[in-house]
Amino acid sequence: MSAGQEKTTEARPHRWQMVIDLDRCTGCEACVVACHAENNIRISGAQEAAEGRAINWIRIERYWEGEYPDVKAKFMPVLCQQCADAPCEPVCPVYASYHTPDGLNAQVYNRCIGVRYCGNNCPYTARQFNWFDPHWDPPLQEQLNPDVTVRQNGIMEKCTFCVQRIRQGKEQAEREGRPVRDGDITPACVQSCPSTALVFGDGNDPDSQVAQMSKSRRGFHLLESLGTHPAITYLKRLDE
Amino acid sequence: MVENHNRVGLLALFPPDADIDSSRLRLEGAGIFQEQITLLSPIPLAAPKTQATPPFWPYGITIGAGLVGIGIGLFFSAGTAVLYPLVTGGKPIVAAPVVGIISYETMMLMAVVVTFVTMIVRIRRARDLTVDREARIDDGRLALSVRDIHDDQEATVRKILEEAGAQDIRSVSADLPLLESQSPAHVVTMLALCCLAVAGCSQDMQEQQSYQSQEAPRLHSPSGSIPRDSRTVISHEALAAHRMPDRAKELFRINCLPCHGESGEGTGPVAPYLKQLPANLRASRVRALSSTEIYDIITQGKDMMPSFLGELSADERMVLASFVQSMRPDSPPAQP
Amino acid sequence: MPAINRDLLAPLAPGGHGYVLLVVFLSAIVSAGAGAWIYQIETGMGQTNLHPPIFWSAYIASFVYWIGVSHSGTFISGVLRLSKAEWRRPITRIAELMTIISVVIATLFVFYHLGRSWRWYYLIPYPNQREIWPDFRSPLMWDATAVFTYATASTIYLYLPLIPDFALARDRIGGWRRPIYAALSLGWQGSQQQWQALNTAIRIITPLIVMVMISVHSIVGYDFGMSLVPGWHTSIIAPYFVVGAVHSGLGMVAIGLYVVRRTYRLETYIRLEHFDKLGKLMVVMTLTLAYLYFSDQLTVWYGKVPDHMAVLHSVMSGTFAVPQWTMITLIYVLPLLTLTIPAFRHWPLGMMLIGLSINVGMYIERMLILIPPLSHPRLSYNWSDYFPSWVELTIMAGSFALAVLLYVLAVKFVPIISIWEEKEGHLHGRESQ
Repeated sequence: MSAGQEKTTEARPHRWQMVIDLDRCTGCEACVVACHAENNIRISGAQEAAEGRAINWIRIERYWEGEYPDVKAKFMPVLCQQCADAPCEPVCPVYASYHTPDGLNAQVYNRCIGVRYCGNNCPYTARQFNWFDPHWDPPLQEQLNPDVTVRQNGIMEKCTFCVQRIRQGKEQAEREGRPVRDGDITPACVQSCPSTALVFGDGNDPDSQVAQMSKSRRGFHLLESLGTHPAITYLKRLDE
Repeated sequence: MVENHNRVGLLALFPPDADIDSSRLRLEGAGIFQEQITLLSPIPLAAPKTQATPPFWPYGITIGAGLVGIGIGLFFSAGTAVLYPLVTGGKPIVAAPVVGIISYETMMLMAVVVTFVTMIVRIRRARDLTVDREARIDDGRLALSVRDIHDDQEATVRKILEEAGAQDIRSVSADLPLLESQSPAHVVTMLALCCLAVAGCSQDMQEQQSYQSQEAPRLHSPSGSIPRDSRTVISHEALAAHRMPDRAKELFRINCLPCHGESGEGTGPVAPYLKQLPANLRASRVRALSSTEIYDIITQGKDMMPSFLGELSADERMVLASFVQSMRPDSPPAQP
Repeated sequence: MPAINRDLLAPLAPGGHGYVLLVVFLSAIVSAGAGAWIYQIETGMGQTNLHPPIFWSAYIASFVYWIGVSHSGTFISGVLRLSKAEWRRPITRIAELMTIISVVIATLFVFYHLGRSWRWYYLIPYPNQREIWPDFRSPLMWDATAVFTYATASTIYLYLPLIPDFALARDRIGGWRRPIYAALSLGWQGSQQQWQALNTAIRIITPLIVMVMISVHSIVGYDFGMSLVPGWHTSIIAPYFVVGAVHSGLGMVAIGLYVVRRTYRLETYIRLEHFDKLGKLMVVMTLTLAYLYFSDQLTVWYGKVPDHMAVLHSVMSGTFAVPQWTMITLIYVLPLLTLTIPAFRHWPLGMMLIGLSINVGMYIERMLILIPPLSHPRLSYNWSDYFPSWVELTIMAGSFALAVLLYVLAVKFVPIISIWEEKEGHLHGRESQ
């Protein structure tokens, strides 16, 4: 499995990866807000949020440990893990979910017909569904990002690693006739993280920060045993 | 069937236990070919009476169709994947189990459908064109049809049939009208083609709400408005008509007066030429509207009234709305 | 034979007031369901109670259930025809009609389920302007292919033995139905070549359709088995689904037999012997299903993988315990307690009630296959719960009514017992005596 993965990464120019340092994460949810603003994520409202339908491409999962009064809150940001062997991809009957040459799990909105198998098969529950047509209270629609499609009712969506920014970074580098440098591309969540708990970069570049950090002894992948080979490396908390 | 005029058919009805086989032999002796004889029965008869063994050909056709089906399955599951080699989930582009499953289903589909079609062709071909179906066989009798016999043979045949115990013999003309099924195939094809045409018109997500580059400026929300509870809550104070009386009157004069009239009673100079009278802005119905609702009507238009979305800026529309709202039922247009 | 014709064509006579009332009543429920569906399409899938992580639920459960019911016809007429069981004769048509109607209903549920149902044709493999084909690596494409094959094959399988009966009806029933019967009977005369062609076709297609039937529900099972969801990801799911399908199918046949027999006074054709045989078959299926179910749950329980245990706990003693134990009672305990008593199997009403119990139980079972595993994803932060919304319930009720309505209408068009096969059986019976 891992041999096959290495082979595919060699063949690809980039391998976008992220490192999430749980020791630095304060759970402030700035990334969540930034993601909403960047990616035109629909505003669900109180009612839908209560029904569990609030769409978040990145969420802070909070777990309680211990019994009262000796109780601890632990949290971790969870977003699409951009798996190398993504369980969500092959189950899509219409190729709406597929693997891009950059190693991203792409979701092609206008191919999607909403069978929602990918949502079931994602062990991270990272995929979200548009239960209704999106709506922005005017004049909020004026701030929509023109580089990101507003998704209609009935299709799946999920974190793209801000593919529009990746595109932009690559095009900029191409115009300037140079390879993409580490730090050229920052997804919205990474950009907004006040404690720099999130680091993004090209895993194929051995000198990039993300490649260096993911070698950390604290590093682990979420639900590693499933063999999905996520592109996100979590760094363990240094407790006590 | 060229020499219809001197050839006839006979249809004899037999009790269920009649000895059809021996009369067949006798008919053959009288110079009638097997192909001229058709035995009609309400249920399939046991082999001795039909003197035939199941032919091999349908199995061959079924197997052939199954092979074609496997080919179709191969094309779908392997061929299309090679044509569009999209990687998904680390699975191989052409995966053997997938090819197996799909080919299995298409094989079955083709085998069943082609066997069925072959059977239809066989049934249609095996019809005795000279006789209609003998309805009385359904009561448990057998019918023997001997067709295409010469005039001079007729008496012999009739005699043989009678001796065999036929209960009723009738002659059938060779050109009996047949019950033909109407083929609705072309209608179905046309409908399917129409459906295909509809399928091409995909506009989903083409129109985006976001502000695109090169797009004309949008004049959507008045300044000072706040998004809340699925709509814009407009700060009324900021754009109230009494704050800028001249501006409000001027806007009303230019945009509303032609239809709604100076006083707003729907008696403007253009009003007599309209099919539907403009609303009386002093009527209680209009008075009941909030300035936000009036703003919406100005923005989107109503009935005959056009939308002012492209004509007026959001602020101007808001000022107008506030102005209209401030009109009193009996008084002239509100004065500051 | 004239008596057989008379008795078996009698149900085709125009229905009375009761019949019309029933049709109107069912149509009303169907319209309600259709209205709910339109509402759902207009406003969005949010009208269901689905939410992450539960992306599939009532519609897919109903799809699985209806595909299961459709196995009645193929199993009864396919397997029994293959084994030349004489007692199949009066049952086959009743069951085959159920097959095709429930396949139609099941397909409808796929459409209810789609987020953008107006883009359903993206699933059809044809060269198109989007320049892309469906991904046949998806189990859903296997499913689409299999269900299409199954629907086509079972329609053909229903139609084949109908041809002589259509010819009979053409000659004996006038009015608006006559030209339709004439077209459908393909110029059937009853000549020996025609019989031979028909019998050969039936002989070839019967084993094929049994193989298709097994593959279809296996693939429906694979839809779940291929996923990583704890509780779905099990290798036993394909045979379990097939047996479960036959179980609910047989239950439905028991209901159908009882109703048809009672409504049209067909006691001479659908005899107690038939209920007895059906009952025995149901016992076998109950035991097989219980065996598969036990094997599956035992493996989970002993293995103690936490993700799987969460699902097991929730059904055995947690949130879903009430439906779970109701289901166990309805599909395993009740049938075993009653059907093993010979006298009970000779009691048509009782058989019907057990059929009902099995079907209610199997519907719950399908829900339980879907919802508890989906409610317990591996990251426990996302655990959730689900109950169908009124839109889902209305659509389900409407679809059920549509199934009954189609059946009620079909009975007026199709001889509900295969006339020529009944005659043949009659003759065989006489010869063997």
